[in-house]
Amino acid sequence: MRMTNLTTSSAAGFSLEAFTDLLERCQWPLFTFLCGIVGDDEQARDLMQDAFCDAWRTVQRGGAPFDGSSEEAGLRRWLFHVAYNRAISALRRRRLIQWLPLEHVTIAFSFEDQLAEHHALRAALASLAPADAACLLLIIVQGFTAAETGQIIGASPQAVAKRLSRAKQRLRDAYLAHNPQPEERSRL
Amino acid sequence: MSQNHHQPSPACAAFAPLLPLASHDLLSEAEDTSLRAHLATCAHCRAALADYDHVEAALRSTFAPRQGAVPPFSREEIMQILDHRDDHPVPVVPPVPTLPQRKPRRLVTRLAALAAVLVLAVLTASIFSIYTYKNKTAGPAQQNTVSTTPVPGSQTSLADISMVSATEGWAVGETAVGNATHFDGVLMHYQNGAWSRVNVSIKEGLNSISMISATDGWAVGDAGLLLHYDGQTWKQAASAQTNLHRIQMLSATEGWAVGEYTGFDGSAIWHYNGHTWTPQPLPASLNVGNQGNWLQLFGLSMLSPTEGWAAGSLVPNQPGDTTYPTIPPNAIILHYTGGQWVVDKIIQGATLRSVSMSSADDGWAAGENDLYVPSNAGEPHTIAENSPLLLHYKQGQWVQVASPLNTPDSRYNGTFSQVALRSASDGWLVGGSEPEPGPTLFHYDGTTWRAVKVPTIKDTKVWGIYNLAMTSATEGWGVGLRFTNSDTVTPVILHYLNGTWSVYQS
Repeated sequence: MRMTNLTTSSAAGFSLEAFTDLLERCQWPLFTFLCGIVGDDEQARDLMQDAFCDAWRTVQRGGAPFDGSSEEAGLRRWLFHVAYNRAISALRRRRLIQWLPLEHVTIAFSFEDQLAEHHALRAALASLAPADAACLLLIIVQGFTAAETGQIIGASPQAVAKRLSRAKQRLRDAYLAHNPQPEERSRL
Repeated sequence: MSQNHHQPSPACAAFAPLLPLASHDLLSEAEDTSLRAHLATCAHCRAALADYDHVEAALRSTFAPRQGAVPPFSREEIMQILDHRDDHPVPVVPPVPTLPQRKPRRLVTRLAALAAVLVLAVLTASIFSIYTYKNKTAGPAQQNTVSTTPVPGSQTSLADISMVSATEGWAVGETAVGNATHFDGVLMHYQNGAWSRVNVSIKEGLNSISMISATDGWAVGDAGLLLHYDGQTWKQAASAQTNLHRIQMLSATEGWAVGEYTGFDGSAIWHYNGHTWTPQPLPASLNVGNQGNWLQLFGLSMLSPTEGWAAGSLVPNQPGDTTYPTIPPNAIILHYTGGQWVVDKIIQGATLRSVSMSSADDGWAAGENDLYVPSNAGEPHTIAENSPLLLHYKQGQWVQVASPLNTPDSRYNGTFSQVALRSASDGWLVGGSEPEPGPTLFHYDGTTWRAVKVPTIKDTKVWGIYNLAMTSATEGWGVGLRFTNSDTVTPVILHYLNGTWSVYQS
């Protein structure tokens, strides 16, 4: 271990301590975001490690947005951007290597508890195109604006709005198909 | 969520795309006003709106961290992750000892999977080839048949090769880690008459390599990897923060690299001045970045520090996603002249994977035409149908010429992965097409592209060659990958000598 080496500040003045603080604050949102995109908790953890490393290299380089030019919101956005690219790249490869369309990839449901509703939702989310799922998660769960989401996934705010609209319609349909009706459940 | 028992009215269809956006402040004032007016009179749409609210709440609940839940990583784990990779990639290859002359070893076969985008089309074609091939009975008589011994389940491929001389060279690629969720870089070294895998820790796949001498060279890979070789070790020298597909060094102090650019970090084109790699400005007309256009450059052919060409594709902003785009890319050829990169040619619905100039007045570019069709009725995903695309640069213009590579009909895919000119009358072209299980190589004599026989490989569903490195008119090498019958992926190294291609092996 060479922890001591890492405590030296980067060009931007980000110490290992400060950077770890940032990652600690962002790791839950990043993890749930990645779980939603790739549908696999273990892979989400792997991808998050990669994203952390990408970010740390940028910190050490002092490159944007870690050059002191961004507020924490900008850093957070960049972390989501890196995580998104990692997820898309992994999905693309998973398809190439396993010869399977994404919707046939087995989804592991270890992330949440036994609630059928959560399972149904994750299954429905997994049936969406990854970029559409990303728009849903970034805007609805993470609270990003359409413009911020566009920056993260590399699309215009107009394109993000179109994706969000389509994704919500599809999610609602898929969710209705998977999920027992609450009214019926409550009568049981 | 309640079943929506209310009947929609004819007007509802127009509001269906607006309803999901109502809670996000993403409607124009006019849209908002008309939607509110409609909602006041339509029970169906009010119920649908309630459904959306319910789905949103469920989504937040599902993906919200639970109170008191243990986070994915502890603080110590985060620091260990950073520490583990703090110098990563600063992979270090131990000094390569000069080995005594020995018998060539069996090909190292830890595996290969291809640099993703670079080979997307070829692999797509390969997928179909596999399925097509499965239905075939006995294949053609196998000549020059060879066999390698794959490690079951492994996936290692080679993407590029650079020879220092006829007796020394390097090849790069990648190998899957874990459940193919990550790829490590692979380096192979040719010396003393044998290729051997170099034991090295590189945490990203490598896509391209360019050696200047036996003691100076560069390799590029995913996530901006820029590795430098000083004759002793390979070390991470810089990061371009984006996937790099191709590198060409003109000298120890002059080099270029190209890759992907989505508008966030850096550029798709990087230049090395002997000290640092810097992102280069792209033509503004490409509109890369904020509008969603995505530039990916695969081919690079620099003639001098002041002139060169790059080729690839511009992926338009589109509905769907970048994994399964619905609008095909547009092939693009960029020209570096007068100190800046300018757009020279755009071809609708195509991708160029390679460009090679024999001089400022003569060159070739190759890739494929891309047509996207729905994979299945009702699914949002698409499948690419590719046909080979070949361009010739002469008299100052890029002109499309008839492809020497053909497929039986439009149901089959075909693409070129590399064109490499040694002179205006000595060139090689690498392609792949269904239903052939292997690549097709063509030689150019200044007039005609002629197919050259390639060997067959035993226990192979499908295989491909991605790049060639010719050391003379009569000798050269090619690298790629093969899928065994059990879907293990192994590297392929081809050797060309005195008119015959053979598979390198012990």
